[in-house]
Amino acid sequence: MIAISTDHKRIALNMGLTALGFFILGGIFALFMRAQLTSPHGDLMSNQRYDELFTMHGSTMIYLFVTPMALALALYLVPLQIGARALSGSRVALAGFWIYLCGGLVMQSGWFANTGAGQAGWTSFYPLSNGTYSPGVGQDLWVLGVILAALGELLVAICITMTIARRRAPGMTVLRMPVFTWTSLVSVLMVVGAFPMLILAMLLLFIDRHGGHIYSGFTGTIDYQDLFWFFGHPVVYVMFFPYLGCAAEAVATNAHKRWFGYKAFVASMMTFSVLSMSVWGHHMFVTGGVTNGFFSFTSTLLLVPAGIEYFDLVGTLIGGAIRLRVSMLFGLTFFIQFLIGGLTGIFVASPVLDYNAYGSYFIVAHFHYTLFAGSVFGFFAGVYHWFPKMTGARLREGLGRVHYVLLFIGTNLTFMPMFVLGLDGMDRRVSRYSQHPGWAFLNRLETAGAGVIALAVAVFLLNVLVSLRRRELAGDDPWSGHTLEWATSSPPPPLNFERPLPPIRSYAPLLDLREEAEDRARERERGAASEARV
Amino acid sequence: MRGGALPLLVWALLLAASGATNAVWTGDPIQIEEFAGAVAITLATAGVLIVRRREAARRGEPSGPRDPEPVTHTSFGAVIAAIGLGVFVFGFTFGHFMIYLGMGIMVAGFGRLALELYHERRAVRRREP
Repeated sequence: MIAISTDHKRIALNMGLTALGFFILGGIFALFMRAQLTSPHGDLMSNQRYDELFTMHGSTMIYLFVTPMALALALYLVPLQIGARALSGSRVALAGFWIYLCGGLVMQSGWFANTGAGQAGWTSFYPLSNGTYSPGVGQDLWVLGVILAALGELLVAICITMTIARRRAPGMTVLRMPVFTWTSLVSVLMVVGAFPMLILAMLLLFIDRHGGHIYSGFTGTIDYQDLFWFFGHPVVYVMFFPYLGCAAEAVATNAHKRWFGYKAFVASMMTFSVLSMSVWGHHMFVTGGVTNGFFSFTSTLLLVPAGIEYFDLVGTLIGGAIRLRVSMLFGLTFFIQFLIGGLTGIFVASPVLDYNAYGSYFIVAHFHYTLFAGSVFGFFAGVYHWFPKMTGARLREGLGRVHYVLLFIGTNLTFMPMFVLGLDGMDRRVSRYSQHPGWAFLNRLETAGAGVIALAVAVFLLNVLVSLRRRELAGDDPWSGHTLEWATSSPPPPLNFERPLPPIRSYAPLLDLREEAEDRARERERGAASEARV
Repeated sequence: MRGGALPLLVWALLLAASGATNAVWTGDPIQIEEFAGAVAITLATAGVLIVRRREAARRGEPSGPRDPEPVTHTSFGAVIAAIGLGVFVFGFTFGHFMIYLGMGIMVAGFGRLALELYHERRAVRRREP
């Protein structure tokens, strides 16, 4: 029954657990890659095997972990946050989850092909990915897997969009939706707008690989990149916004304050998401096939909405009664580490600087600071924040702190040296590198860091296991939450709410109730004091 | 806004503005088509929302009596159809027999879905006053 349930919470948990499985698989691929790079002329694997590993690592993480995990979080939390009893189109969402799972299995089945798995990178640029330069079944399975995974995720996104539009509770206006719901809404809008282009690009690539000659010549090559990056850049933000929402909710709750500058935040989310649909050409500066000025301009403009979010964060923290719980630590670190990824992104938004950094480890460091040091920290902020709601049990704070410290050290040990290596000229996607002074040492540091990350993930899994086996009951609202999901039982019942919803007069209805109660108590005290004086 | 389509329309409008800037600045046909495609898909989604009956009022209590609404707990049909699609697509690489097998599974899945929807509608009709 679990596998065919149309309850949005069950589908979300199934999708989240599947994505977590793919995260561990993608992490194992990364460990093999780092083991190969420990020494300049590592002989652990062939060049082809290394190509397969970095292709499948990137593809697994992007198509099968970070994006679906963001959607799974939205699928679980959005109906609860807007006071909906159920999801719109729950059958479609269920089918979406299964299509995504099939896509993941099809993609990974490439490992059993005699030509190996996909090996043209997670972008599969043309002509590298055509039938001549990447022959064999493995690359075909990669293309088909991407089509299925993207289709499944698109269906889930459509259901979330419909739910937000049609199933909000009485009183839940658009400008009263919680911060996480807003970040989810702009993400699913981007999925709806951008993912069809990926499906189209991959369908055409499949036809091309089988003699269709779709992307022939220079124009065809540029057209492929245009189609791919029209998906490829927005997806970075699909992998960022929901985790930003997780971190923002964790920070606001642990600071015991409303998220500062709500309306500015909503406006910045809308412009941020539209701008991020308009910057994809900065991945193509070196091709000479795009107007660099336009894409450099729009990419630099991203600073404005991003700045508003950081301003809101600082505003939320100032004057707050801050509790440094594990979710808060992850939430704050998300903002700090993402800043490194964001600022280095502004460097490469300049075509002149990008010409130098393109294809180097600088780029690898930049996007790992946004997607791993950023998004994954936001994900863990969300997990520690909402785990009690999903399971009824709290995660252990002590083990959580060990997990946090190890992940923080491991992340920076792995990805910070990549900036130095990139600036020094080390190319990405190479299984062997020259004996340049210092490179071997920095690569060893990175390998050690990857091991620490693996240890951190093991501690997290141990924490989940311990917390579920020896339960510390959480109650309905362990953190004095602000939003409607904390007004129902933990875990929530099948139709989400058994008790009547509290009145919704802002984006933090439970905080409103508490503040009203405090005001009443204060008035009573004042009245009693004045009576005593009389 | 009927159907709660307002955020989608605003988003589509902003995207169209960005696309227009791109068109004026670059004049690149494929980029213009991509923007147009994304705007069209968003507008189509908003259109569906506007056409369909809205399920909850945004302000105050929902007005007037509401029709009984079915609640779906499980759907075997959706899962079978999805797996059928997976088998169908896998068949393009693994072997053509799987294309036919996948199509067969999909047909079975959609059949089961139709049956589920039929029973659901019957149950709703029985509850109507």
